[in-house]
Amino acid sequence: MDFLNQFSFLYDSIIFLFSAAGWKNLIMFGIGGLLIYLALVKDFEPALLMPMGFGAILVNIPWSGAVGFAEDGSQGIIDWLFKVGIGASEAMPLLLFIGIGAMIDFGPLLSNPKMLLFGGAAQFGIFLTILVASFMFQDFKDAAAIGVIGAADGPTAILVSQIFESEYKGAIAVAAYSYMALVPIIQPFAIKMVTTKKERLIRMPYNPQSVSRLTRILFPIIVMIIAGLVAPKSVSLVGMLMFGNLLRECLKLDSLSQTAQTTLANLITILLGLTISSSMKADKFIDFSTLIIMALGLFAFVFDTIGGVMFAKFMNIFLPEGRKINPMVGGAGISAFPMSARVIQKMSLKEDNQNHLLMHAVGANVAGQIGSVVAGGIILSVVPTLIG
Amino acid sequence: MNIIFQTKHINESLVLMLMGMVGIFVVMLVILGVVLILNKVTDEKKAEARKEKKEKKAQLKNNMKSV
Repeated sequence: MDFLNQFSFLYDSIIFLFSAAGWKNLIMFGIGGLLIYLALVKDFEPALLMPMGFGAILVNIPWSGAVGFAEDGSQGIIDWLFKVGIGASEAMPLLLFIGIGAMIDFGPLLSNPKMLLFGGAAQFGIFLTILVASFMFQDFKDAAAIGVIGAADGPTAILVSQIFESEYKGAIAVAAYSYMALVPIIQPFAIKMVTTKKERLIRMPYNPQSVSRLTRILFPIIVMIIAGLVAPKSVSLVGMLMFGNLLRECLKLDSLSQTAQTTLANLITILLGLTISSSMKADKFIDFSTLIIMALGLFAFVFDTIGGVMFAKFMNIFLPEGRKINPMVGGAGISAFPMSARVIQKMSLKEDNQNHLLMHAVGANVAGQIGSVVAGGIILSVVPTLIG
Repeated sequence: MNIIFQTKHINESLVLMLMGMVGIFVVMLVILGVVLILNKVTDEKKAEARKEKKEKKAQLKNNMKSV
């Protein structure tokens, strides 16, 4: 037996996994595998879900060297990345926003600026979810962080949950990115629930105004100033997004714009997915609260869509025939770009193969990008004052 | 696990909903206004049309002088 004990290092981890203390780690292996499956086979946000799934397995291997502290005091790489890349100043999601901003073309929105209103209306699900979550979670900051899943924007959800020091960061990140990938399933269901066939058949002619280069350059600067004055805590979010967009629109820094859209975005994406898995350790993640958060995330997305659609229907009360808005376009005001716009276009063509709503939906969708970061900033600014 | 049904935060949630939605709409309306002004002031097509009109006027004047 003494001889066998010398080789215990070979089987200690396996024994642990099948012990009473280790079954949660096994479940996390399954969850990690599921995320990888969804990413690679079902094509659900593979850039984030694959690293998150892999990381979930990595951090839940018993006594994993990738987390915690080693005997010499050095920190595991995943925990270190989390401490430096997210914990210290939320750097990773903010830097990713530079890349996202550089990818966005605000042209369809600038040529049809009333779509901005749908970018606002479709954030309703965030606040309704906070209300519902507040009935279940003791800490109001946790409820607020969970509600921000409805921003349909991974970096914003991660940022808010980090600043509020929510213990549910892992579940929030998984919910945010999973439901973003499920938009093609969630939105048609939600839209059909609150619209009639007649409303879905409304045609909207597309007569865009021309947009000057000067407008494209001034837009990101002005948006940052306006959003920052109203919600100062949103400056980092909005600022990074708009900086990326300015790199794109100034036409003088093409190599920087390309770098932001490709190299920077890819580099941060690789690290962010792995780093988030630091908050997916079994003892925290395998909990009834994770299921509740997943359910609340779905609720947020559904009511975001319903919020945008209902606002469009409300506007139609005041608009004359021939100028009415197809309510489905309101649903495109969530931040899941460009998926939501494509979903609306597909739904409109299914109802009427001559009804092209894509450019209207794209305008609303990019407005949702602005709306979601403003919502995140307002929540960051207001919640601490409400709870005192 | 901190999940217990309770209503102690209902007031804060409702106030946050009101402030949040109003705040977002205020920001969006201000941005909308600014974009409309920018589009009007920097309209390239109109600026080009004005330039063309000026050039035609100048050409007509030259033609009349030569006659």
